[in-house]
Amino acid sequence: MSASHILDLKDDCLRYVLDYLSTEDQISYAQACQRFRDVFIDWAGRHYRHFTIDEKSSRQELIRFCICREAVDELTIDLDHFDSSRALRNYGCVAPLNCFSILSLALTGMTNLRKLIVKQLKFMLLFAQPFEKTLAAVKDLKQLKVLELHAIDDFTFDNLGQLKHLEELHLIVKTLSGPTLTYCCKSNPNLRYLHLGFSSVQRILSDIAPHCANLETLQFGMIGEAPAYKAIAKLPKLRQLIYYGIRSTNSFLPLLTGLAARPQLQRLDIDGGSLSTEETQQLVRLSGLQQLKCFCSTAECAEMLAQLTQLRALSIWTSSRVDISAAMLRVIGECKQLQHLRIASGNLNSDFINDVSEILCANKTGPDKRSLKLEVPVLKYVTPKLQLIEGNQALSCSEFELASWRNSN
Amino acid sequence: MPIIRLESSDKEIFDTDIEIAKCSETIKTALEDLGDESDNSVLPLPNVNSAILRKVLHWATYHAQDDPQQAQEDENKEKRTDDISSWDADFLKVDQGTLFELILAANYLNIQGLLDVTCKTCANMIKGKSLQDIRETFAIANDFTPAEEEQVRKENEWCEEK
Repeated sequence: MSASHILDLKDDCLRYVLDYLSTEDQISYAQACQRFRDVFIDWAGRHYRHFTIDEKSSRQELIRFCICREAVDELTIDLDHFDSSRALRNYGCVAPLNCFSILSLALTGMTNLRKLIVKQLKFMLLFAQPFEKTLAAVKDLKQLKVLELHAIDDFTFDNLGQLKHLEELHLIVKTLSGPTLTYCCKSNPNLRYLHLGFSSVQRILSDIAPHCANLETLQFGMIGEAPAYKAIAKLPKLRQLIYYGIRSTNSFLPLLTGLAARPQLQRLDIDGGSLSTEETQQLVRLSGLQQLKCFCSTAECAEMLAQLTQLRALSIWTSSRVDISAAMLRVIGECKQLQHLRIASGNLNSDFINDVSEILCANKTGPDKRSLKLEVPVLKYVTPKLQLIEGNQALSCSEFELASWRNSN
Repeated sequence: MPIIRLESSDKEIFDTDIEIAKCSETIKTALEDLGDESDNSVLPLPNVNSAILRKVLHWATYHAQDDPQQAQEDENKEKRTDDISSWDADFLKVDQGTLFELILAANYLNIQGLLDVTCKTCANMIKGKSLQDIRETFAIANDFTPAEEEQVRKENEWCEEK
């Protein structure tokens, strides 16, 4: 054992020296040679596995992060960090672009990056095409499977089509061109999850459907006519369909008819627009459905849902003031897998909760004891007065909360 | 006084007070494994030469009465390096090669106090220096490719926010 040179030291000794250095000295150390850099990454890298660049990120932190670029697994870039209006006061407007080019260079080397989130969530002055520049930097990263883009201003995303390994894509952006999305779906054949912000896209679902052979979850919202939605029914592996926002009456009829021909859907959210009778008739043919969220305008529609015997969770919003007690009791009676029933609005009679309790107790036979989480409309809006009873093992009751409607999965 | 016979890599025998030798966790463990047979037996230390072992034992003899080390501070938090005792500072007025050999020996023999003070001394040779000065101090060649070199140069251009 003869160590005449610092590089003869073992890694753990070199790492030990790092403990005694200031952040600035650590950076110089990591930049001196390959071996020191590797030791530094080994020592500090785990702090940068999940990293966020935002307004508060300091220079030293960012340099250390860039050094550890190979260790980064999940990165969030809040473009606020590059807001020129703030930078203008400090260093003149060229600085943010320089900083962004440093980040871009680091991005190209993030060989283990798995998830990237880029956000523009408030008004800010930005250099040209921040999203295109980011996408160009990560286009060759083979591990990048999850991409989330949020933008409130108009940007282009043409470079999306250069990525090839995406499995999950969230585009919560103001506008997205049809050809861009189509090209992106084509170049990412393993896409399993696609989430489009409300009205981000217009009438392009028929263009992307042929290229989304592996898509299992589609989440979107757009104001369109019936034919625009229909193409979704062709997605061969679709298991979860989540729609939000307004839509016109009966506009889902062709879509639901198409889906019912091959009932493989497990989750369906139609969070906007009451189901018509015709739509409901098709919907209840989706025999494998386990999770449903919808609006109903009549008690008849609500009662038809009892045919979905595989349901585990049902969230229902009644848009008129009809009494849906009997309909809901029927659903609880028929859907024996049901674990969660959320009734956002609608009238229930005063015996409703007792009746539910009785149904659950009557079903107690056998090894599968039923238990149900029941959310009822806010009591002050319900007439006549509904009494919340003390929860027992089979039934737990609470008042409906809007937040749980929005966030329910 | 019970004695343990330590043998350096170049076969020199050091008759050592067992209590002093035990400041090395490595030797302490070896002695426990030997049990009663440890009396007058020879313990070979093939990773430490006689010059370094002599210095290590010199250090251990001086520090034999020290209190046990305090609990470790938070990881990744900069630790002090300005608390080296004057005796240790004199002890470590050695050439770089000897310092690195002492670090390796302290690591191999698992002597925390010696490892601390040698690494602190090494850290002090880095502190406040530019990266070019660090390379010169330790005669380290810049082995980055031109592309990596460019990355290093750019990294340092991040602007300080606030």
